[in-house]
Amino acid sequence: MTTGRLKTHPLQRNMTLPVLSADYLIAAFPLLLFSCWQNGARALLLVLTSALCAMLWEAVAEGLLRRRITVWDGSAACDGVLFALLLPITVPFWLIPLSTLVMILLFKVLWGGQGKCPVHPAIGAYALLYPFFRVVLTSYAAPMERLPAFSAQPIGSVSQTVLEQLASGTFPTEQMVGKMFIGDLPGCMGQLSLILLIGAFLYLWMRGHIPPLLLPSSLLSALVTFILLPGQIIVSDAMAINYVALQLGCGSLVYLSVFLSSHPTCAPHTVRAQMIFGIGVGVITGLLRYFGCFADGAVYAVLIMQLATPLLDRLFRPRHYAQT
Amino acid sequence: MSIIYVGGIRPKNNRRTRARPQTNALAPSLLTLSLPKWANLQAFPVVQVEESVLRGQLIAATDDPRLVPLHAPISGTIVQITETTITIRSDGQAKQHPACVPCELPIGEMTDEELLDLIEAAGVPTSGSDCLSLAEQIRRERGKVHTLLLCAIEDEPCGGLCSQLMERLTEEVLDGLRIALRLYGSRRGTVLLGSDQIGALNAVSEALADQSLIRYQKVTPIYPISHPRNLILSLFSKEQKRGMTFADTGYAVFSPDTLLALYEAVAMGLPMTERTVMLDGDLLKEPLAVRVPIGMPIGTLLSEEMIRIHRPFSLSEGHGSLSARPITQDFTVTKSTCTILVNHSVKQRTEELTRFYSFTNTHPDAQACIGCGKCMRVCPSELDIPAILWQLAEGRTEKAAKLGSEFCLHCGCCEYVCPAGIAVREQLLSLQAICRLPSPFASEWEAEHAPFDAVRADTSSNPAQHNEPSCTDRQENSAISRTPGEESDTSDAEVGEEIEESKEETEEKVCRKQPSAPMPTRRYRLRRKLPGSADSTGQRDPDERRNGT
Repeated sequence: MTTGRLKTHPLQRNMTLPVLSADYLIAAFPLLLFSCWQNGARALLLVLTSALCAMLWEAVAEGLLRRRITVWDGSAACDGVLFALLLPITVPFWLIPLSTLVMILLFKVLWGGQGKCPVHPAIGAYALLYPFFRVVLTSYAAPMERLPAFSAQPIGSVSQTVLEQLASGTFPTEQMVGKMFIGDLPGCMGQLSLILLIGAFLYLWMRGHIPPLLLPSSLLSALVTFILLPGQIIVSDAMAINYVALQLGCGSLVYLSVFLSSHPTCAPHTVRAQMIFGIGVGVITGLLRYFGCFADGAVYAVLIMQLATPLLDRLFRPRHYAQT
Repeated sequence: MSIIYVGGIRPKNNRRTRARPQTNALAPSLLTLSLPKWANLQAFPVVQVEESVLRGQLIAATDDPRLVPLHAPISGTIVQITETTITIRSDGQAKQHPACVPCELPIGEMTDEELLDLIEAAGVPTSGSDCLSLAEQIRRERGKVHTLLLCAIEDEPCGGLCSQLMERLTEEVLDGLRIALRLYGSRRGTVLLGSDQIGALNAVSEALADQSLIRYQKVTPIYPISHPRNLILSLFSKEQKRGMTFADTGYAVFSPDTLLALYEAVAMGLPMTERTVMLDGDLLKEPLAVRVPIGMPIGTLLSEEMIRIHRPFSLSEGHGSLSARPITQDFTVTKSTCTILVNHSVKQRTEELTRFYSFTNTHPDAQACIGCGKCMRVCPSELDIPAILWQLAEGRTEKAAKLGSEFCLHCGCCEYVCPAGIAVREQLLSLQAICRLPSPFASEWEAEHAPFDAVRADTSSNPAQHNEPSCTDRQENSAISRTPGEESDTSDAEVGEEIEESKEETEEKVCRKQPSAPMPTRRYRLRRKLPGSADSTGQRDPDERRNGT
C-alpha cells in the first residue's frame, strides 16, 4: 500500500504545434500590453508587423524551396513576436521586414524548419544584426514617454540603460531595484517588468513547455559570477546587493531564459544538460559584461550555449533500458 | 516499497467504471474460428465437414505442446474447413460435450502434472497471446519464478475489463492465482490494482483479509505501468537484460482473464471456448462487459447487443485506447481479445470526439521532429528518441540502430505527447526491419528447437516474429498474432485502398533495401503513408519475405 513517486512530470494532454505556439503567444501578450502602456501603441504595431512579416517570409521561402508550408502551425508568428520583443521600442519600421527575413531564411527555413537550426531563429537574427545596427538596437525609450505610433526614423530620447549606467559608474540604489521589478526602467520591449516575466515563466512551466531548472541555474550562476567579478567598486553590502540584483534583472537575461533559451526546440533534453546550459549562460553573460564590449551580452551567451546544445545532449544522453 | 515510475503518461481519465453487469451474448448462427498458428506451427483440424460437434468438443489439435488446441464454442455442424479457419453452423441447442465436467478428484489431491495436463487440454493461452499454451509456459518457467504478479491495473483511459473481472469474479480469479502459485512453486503472489479502481480494491481486500500468501498493492496507474517489463522495472527496479527471458527476472505477470480461464479449466473442467470482452468507446452510452464465444464476429456482436450506430464509426481492439489497433467488423473474437472500442470515424475527429480514440499518430516523416524532447521524458525505456529520429531523417540507419530502439515497448507514450504528431512507433519498427535488429531478449520458446533457426533466418527481417511470446506482453503478442497468415483479421477497411497503394510503394523500397550485408549502407529516408504503426509492418511483412527469398 504505497503511493508512487513520479520521476517525470506527467503530461496531461495531447500537445500540438499550434497549441505550443499559442501558449507562447499567450505568455508574451502581457509583456506586450505593458510595453504599450509604457510607450504607446507603437509596441503593438511593431510586434504585429514582425509576426506578419515572419509568416509571409516563411510562406514565400518554403514555397520557393518546394517545402511543406508550415505557416499555420504558428511557429513563424511566434518567432516574429519573440524577436520583436527583444528590440527596443524605438526601432524604425524598415528594420522589421529585413530582420525577420534574415531570421526566417537564414536561421529557420534553410536549416529545414522549426527545431532544426541549432540556435533559436530570434537569437540568431539578433546576434547577426546587432553589430550592423548597434546604435538602433540600443536606443531605448525612457519609461512613460509617449512615442508616435508611425515613424520610419529612430525616435525618442535615447536614454541609457541601467547596465550602461552601471558600467559608467552610477551607484545602484534601492529605488532602481524597485523600479526594475515594476518595470519603470528603459529596456527592450520584452523585459520591462520582472513581475510579468516571472508570471510568464510560471505559465509556460505549468503548461509543461519549459524546463523549470534552466532559469534558476542561469540566474544563480550569473549571480555567483557577478559577486566574483563586480564591474564596479563596491563600497557597502547594500550596494553589492543592489548591484547584483540590477545586473541580473536588467538587460535581457531573464527574458531570454524564459522565452528563448528554454524554448522546447532549442533547450537540451535532459535535466542535467539543462542545468549545465543554464550555468553556461549565466557565466558567459557575466564574463561578457565584465570583459566584453557589451553592456548586455546575454544574447551572445545564449547563442554560444545553444550552439553547444547538441553536444550537451550527446554527453548527457540517459542510460536506456537494459543498457550495459 | 516505493514505486519509481520511469517515464509514462497519465492521460485524462475518461474511464467509465460503471459498466452494466456482465451479460452472455447469444451464440450466432455461424462462427468462424481461426486455427492457432504461431511461426511455422499450426494446429490441424480433427473433425470433418458435415460432422456435428458439441460445445467444448476438440476440433483442432496440435503435435507441439507450445500451441493450444481449439474447442468448439457452440454445438452444431461443421460447414467449412479451410487452411486457417473452421466454420461451424449452430444448431440452436447449447449441448455440452460430456467430457466437460469437473474432475472428480479435489484439486489438492492432484499432482502438478495432472493439473498441467488439464490446463493444456483446455487450451488456455498465455496472457496476451491467443495461441501459445499456458501449460507449456508454466513447465518452462517453473523454478525460475519466485513472485507471481496478477496485474489488474487499468492504466489506459478506457477499457475496464480487469476491474470488471476483479470486482465480479474475485474468488475465481484469486483461486486461479492460487493454482498458478502452486504450479510455479512460487513463494509470493501479489495482486496489483490501480488506486482508482475502488470497487475492485474493496472486493480484493475483503477476499484477501485472512491471507498471508497473497497480498495486494495499490499502484498509481501511470500508463504503461501494466506492461510487464515496465511493471517490474517500476516496482522492483528489475530489468530484463539483453539475452534474458522474462522469467529470468524472477517474476511472472498474469492478467485476470488468463487466471480466470485457468480456474475454469482446472476447477470446472471447461475448455476455453468463451471470453469476456468489454465494449466501450465514444458511441456507446455505457461500457458493456459481454461473455462471447470465441470466433464471434464483431459486427454480429454489435447487432446482437442492440447497438445501432447510424453514423460512420471505427473499431479498434486492444487493452484500452492507447494500445488499440484498428479492426473491421469481420474481426472475430480471439482468445486474447480484451476491449473493443466503437468510436467516431477517424474522418470526424475533433477535440471533443476523441476521448476514446486511440492516439496513434500517422505523421510518417521523421523530419517533422522539432527536437523538443518530450518523448524522451515520457519514454519508459528512456530511449533518446530525438536522436534516433534525427539519425533516421538524415538516413543514417546504422547509427540510429545503435541507440537501443529494440527495447521499445511500443506503448505509444511518445506519440501521445509529440507536438509534431510523428508516428514514432512506426519509425522504430521500420528501423528494426531495415537494420534487421534481432530481439534483445532470449526467447525460451524458440531456443531448443532447431527447425526454428531456418524460420528465423527466413523471417529475420520481420520484427514481429522476433518478439518473445512467452513474456506476457500484450503489444508484442498482438504483433505475433499478425503473422502473415492472419492478414484478413487485421486489415482495415477504411484505409484498405491506401494500404494497397502504399504496399506497392513499400514493396519497391523493400526490394531496394534488401541488402546482402546485414546492415544496409544505402541512404534511405523513411517516408511512408501507412495509417498505423503495427498495421504497416503487418502489411509489409509478406512482401518482404517474398522478395527476400
